[in-house]
Amino acid sequence: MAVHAFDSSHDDLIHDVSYDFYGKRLVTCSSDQKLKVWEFNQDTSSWELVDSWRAHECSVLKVSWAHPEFGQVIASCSFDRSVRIWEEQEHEPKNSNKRWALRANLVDSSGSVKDIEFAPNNWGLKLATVAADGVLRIYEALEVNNLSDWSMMEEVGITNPGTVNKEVDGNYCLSWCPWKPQVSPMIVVGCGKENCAKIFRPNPHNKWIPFEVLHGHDDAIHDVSWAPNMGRSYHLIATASKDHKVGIFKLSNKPDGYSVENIAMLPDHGVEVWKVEWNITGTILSSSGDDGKVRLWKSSHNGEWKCMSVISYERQTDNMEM
Amino acid sequence: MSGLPRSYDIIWSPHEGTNQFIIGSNSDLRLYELVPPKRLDGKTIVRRVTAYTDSSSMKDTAPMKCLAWSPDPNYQSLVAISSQAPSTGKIVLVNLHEGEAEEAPSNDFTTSPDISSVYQPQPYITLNLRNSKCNALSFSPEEPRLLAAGLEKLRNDYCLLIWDVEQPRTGSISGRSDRSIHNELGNIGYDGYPSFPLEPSKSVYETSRFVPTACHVRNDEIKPTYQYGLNESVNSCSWFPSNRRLVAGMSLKNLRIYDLRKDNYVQCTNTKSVHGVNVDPFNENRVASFEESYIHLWDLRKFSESISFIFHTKCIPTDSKPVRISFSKSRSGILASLDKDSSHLTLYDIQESSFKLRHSSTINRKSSLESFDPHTNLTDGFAAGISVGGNSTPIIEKSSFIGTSVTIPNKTDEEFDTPVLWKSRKSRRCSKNILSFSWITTFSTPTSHRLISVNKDGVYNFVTLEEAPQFCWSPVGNMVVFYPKGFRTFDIDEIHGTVEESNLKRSDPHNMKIQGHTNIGGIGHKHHVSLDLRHDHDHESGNRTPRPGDINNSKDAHSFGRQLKELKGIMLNQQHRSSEGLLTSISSDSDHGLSPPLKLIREDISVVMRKRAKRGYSMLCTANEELVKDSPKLKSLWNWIAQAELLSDGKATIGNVDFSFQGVYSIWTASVLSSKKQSPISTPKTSSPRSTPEKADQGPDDNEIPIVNTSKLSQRKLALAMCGWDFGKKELENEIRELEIANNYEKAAGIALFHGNTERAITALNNSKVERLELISATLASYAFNDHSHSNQKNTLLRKMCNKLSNELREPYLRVIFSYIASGNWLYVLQQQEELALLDRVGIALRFLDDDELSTYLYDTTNKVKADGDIEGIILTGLTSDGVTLFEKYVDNTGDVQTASLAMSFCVPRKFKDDRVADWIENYRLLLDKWEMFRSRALFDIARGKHMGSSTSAAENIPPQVYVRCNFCSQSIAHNLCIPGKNRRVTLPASYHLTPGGLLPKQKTTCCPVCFKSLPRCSICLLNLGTPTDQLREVIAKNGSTNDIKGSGFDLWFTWCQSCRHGGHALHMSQWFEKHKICPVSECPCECPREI
Repeated sequence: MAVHAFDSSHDDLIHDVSYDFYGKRLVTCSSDQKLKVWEFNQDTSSWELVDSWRAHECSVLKVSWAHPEFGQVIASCSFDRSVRIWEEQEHEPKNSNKRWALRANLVDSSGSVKDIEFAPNNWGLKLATVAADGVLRIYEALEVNNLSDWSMMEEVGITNPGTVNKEVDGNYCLSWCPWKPQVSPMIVVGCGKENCAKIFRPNPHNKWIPFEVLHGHDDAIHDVSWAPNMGRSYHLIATASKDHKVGIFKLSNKPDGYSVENIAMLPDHGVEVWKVEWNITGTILSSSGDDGKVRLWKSSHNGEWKCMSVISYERQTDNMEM
Repeated sequence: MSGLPRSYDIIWSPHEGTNQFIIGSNSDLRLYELVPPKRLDGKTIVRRVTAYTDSSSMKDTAPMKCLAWSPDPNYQSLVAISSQAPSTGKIVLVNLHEGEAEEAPSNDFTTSPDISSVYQPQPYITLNLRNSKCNALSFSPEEPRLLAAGLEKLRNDYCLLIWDVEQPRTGSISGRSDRSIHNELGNIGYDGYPSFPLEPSKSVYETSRFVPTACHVRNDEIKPTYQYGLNESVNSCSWFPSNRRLVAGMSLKNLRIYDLRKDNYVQCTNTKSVHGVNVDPFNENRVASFEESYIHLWDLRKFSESISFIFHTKCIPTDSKPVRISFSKSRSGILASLDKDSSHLTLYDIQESSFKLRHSSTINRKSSLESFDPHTNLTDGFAAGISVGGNSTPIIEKSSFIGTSVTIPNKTDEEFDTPVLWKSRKSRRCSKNILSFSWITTFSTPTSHRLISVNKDGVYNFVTLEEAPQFCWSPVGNMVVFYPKGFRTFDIDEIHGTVEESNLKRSDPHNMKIQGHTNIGGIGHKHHVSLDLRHDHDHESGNRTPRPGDINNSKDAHSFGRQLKELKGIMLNQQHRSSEGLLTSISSDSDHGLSPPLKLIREDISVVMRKRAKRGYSMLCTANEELVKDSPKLKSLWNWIAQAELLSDGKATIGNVDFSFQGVYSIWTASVLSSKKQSPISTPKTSSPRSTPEKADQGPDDNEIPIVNTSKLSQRKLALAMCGWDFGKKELENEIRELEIANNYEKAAGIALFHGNTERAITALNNSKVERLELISATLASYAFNDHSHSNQKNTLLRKMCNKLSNELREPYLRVIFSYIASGNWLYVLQQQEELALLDRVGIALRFLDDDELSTYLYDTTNKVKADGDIEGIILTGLTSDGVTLFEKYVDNTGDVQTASLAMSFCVPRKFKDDRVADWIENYRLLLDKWEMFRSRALFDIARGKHMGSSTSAAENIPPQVYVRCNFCSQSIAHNLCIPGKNRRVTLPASYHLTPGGLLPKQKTTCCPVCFKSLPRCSICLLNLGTPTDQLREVIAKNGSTNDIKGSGFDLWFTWCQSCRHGGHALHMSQWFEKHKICPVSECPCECPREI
């Protein structure tokens, strides 16, 4: 079956991977401080390395592709407290280590930057970051042609708005609401040791503040993912937590915001869960944890989420009873 | 742990390729070995190899205090034990492996508690501890002959003793007095310090090996080679991987680093964190130790400044204190810790927050030995260079004076400041509290952490923690999953599936399962242990080389990486046999209810929608019906829309009310209003108050099939028509015949019955020539004869039987037939038989139920389908706002935004507007864009435009985007502003677009149409823009018109660089830039192709 393996050639752990808008390219980041961009070659049905370059002075934690209308732009963040914006230089040859040029180095964070993501393109070229200093920052490139000029539009303390929280090793994460017809942009932020996630959006004075809170986990949240809406009348947000559970939250419209309902707490991993991500229609949720497995979850007809498939590097063996 | 009545310690062999471990208890040591399964599906067993009992310790019940396993490659199981008996403090070295042959491998997992039956190896070295207790034991990984022991405080004596355990056998070491050692480094059994043998000569070991006991010497004969720490006690100690250094926690107040070439410590820091000191084998500057409830991390480059990284273990409840910590030997910065009275291990993942040392070369023992160059280090007799990592890393020199250190300023000094605790993770809880643990060096990889623990019952347990794999979804539904050395894509577009999947299942020798329980020291607890261990193929050939901490080797050990290297970029379809440890999916039979991931993904709506779109799922109902034939409900939806579309051009009217695309329920309820001469709300098009006589009221037609008495006959008829049930007798007969030809006699009979034609139903069943159906026809016939004699006794029996049959048969039409025979009441039938297609049920209801029953039935059913999101229910709601509500539920349930968009586009926005529908359409269009199916999206837009009616055109929704302005008059030089803009980089057309067929007077295209000033010149041909190029002129000359120019019509357009704003004819420009990178205008340095 169409399961293909490729050598990633990273020298260390891979921390994040991201597809571009069309799924034709991949970018990976690793503890070896490098970013690698891959391109799918239709003729050979294989992924080929476009370029690989040393992007940071520390492990690179996350990468994100911008919408193609802004060009081939990648953002990366690292333990070195910086967020860097890279743009492809078409004229540089492939695998020259120079194909992606550093456009901007955003160093406002006083802690390692834990998560980044570009906003849906209808909000412009915006980038949200969360760092270990407990601050959500939203940057915007006001001139799309000039990627070196990013201005910080928002700086919001996650735990206590307005204050910069010095929580060491804050486990923060974020995900934009991908739904475009929204009146205002929204971000869900995993709030570290508060054991919850909060939905941030601008208040009537255009100041970002937390609104709804997603309760239900007993420990820190490692990852959040906002499901593509696909015309549903509600939103789905998935969370991965240190308490071994994958949570699914349902946001339904109500007059002054959203009512939050925790519709699933899935303990199948049995160990800490580190990543969740939805597929394009928000119909399959995938999660991975310390058990080294990727689990695929799907909702049955009665709305119950179940683990439908497990991908493991090593095959699971049965637990035989003596 | 020493205070407990029984205490256990566990260590895994430091030797590569050995799957052995030792559990030490108060009085004995047991060596176990994991035996990999012979067959692929075999079990891995744990077999006890040998045991050792310290008879002297047994006597005084002194618990075994410390254990250390020699990493000497010549001795697979040389272990140092210190007994804790206060009066007889000693360290015993035992070679446990000699007893191996004595015990046959056992397949039951119990180990005999009968120690006497086991070979009892003799200690061959005993080291005297001068009546002190031993707190720490450690073999140097660099020189396995060096054993360090840390003792309790001794008055006027040294407490950190380092022995050369080969000393008695090599025999060349003179028993010199303790205090003279430090000055005579060069003479201790070597030919002089700088050239001392890094690996002890093999032959020495070979001989001694055969006669181990011969080497046994009396206690007092072996003297420590080095000793440090006068009048101090040693709490813990640990060797650095290289450079003969060790770090020790001393006297509960400081950490010191000793260099065997120095008389005293070379670095010191004051701290209470002196326990469990541990060196990261990947980063010699990183040392960890713990005190009460803190684990401290030290950076030796800032050691004296006490730059320490502290993390609280406060996440663990109660007053948990760490009792043991240990760095992983397979990845940098992984620190495992065990808290007191806890049943799980904690793994800390430490990352440098800033400058990161290159650790690639540090761990390979051989290379670190090679890089050890005594000459360079000894050139400076005063200060020792501490070289860490690669040669590019900074060297910090420390003065040898006590307590002071000088840090050579270095520009990266500020950089490598703070380690960050990135993750702290807990293993699964064990059933009992853990006493000790050890890294399983042979099976740990950078992404897979394996440990073995022992609990207070002496039962061992495997602990596994994996790194969470990274993965990502592509827009088309492919998934990529990353593993240590590679990634894997699940590609839904390829369909040669099953073969590989089944092969993957088979070829997976890597994963073995260890299963067993132990019974140690007479404690009868049976305990299950299980572990996924990857086993290397090379095991049998003795070739396996996963060396702890050796990156290169561990790559080999786990052939995943190696295989991938070989396979680089090759599809695995052909190669799966050779690649073990593949990313496999769990087969559905091995795990309950799980399906292979690809199957699951393929069945997901995201993939289904894309597949349908590729096949041309569109707004053409008949084509769609064919496309979705695997889904009966969608098929019936498109069937209904096709019907509705047929009726939409004026046929679906009652009076002046247009019911096109209205559902049965809307028609039925609306008819109430229309009888009062009002128009239904949802159809605002009616304007005429004139009421025309309804066709249906005109006298009976011969062809007409009777309908139950009703006040709203026309509505019923229209509704039946909307269901496709508007048969006359002839059409019905044709329909039934067709069904009979298609061998669908059950349905034929059903359809006949549903139109009140019982005889025809009987005939249809008889025509089947199937015995079973003929029998049924007999039953039906018997019913038909008794039709109107309900009181008949026989009939009651018949009804009972039929009722039973109606519940037992599988074919819905037959069930309905029997149900009807049993009850004679269609409403009852409808309520009972919900398996029947909704269309049929509604058809029956419309034909047979009286007005009140029908209203109730339709109302209930409509509500039900709306609540369920049953897409078939569209026949009830129609493509109305009710239908949108139904579709909303359907989309909520399935995510099938595609069908919703396509279906609702028939009526939205022409008949009504709805934000939800607009949202679906936007979502669907975005999906098509993401899938790069721009053509499908365009076709969808066109189809939508057609259904929007004439008032709104799709093109009008997109205003002109770009126009070219005259330099002089600032007017657009376009001659027709309505021309939709193209891509912003391409210019607008000149004259030939404006004069289709030459109707308009030919205007001069080389000048502004408003001010008639000349347009700029092409920078290649220097003619005014608008002048056709040479090639174009030839074409025009040939065809007489520019209209025939296809594709290459762009040649006439003019284009320019967004940056330098030089430009010209598109044709000339593209020709120029085929060969050049720089703007054609002289002196203009602009690299136009780069400027987008």
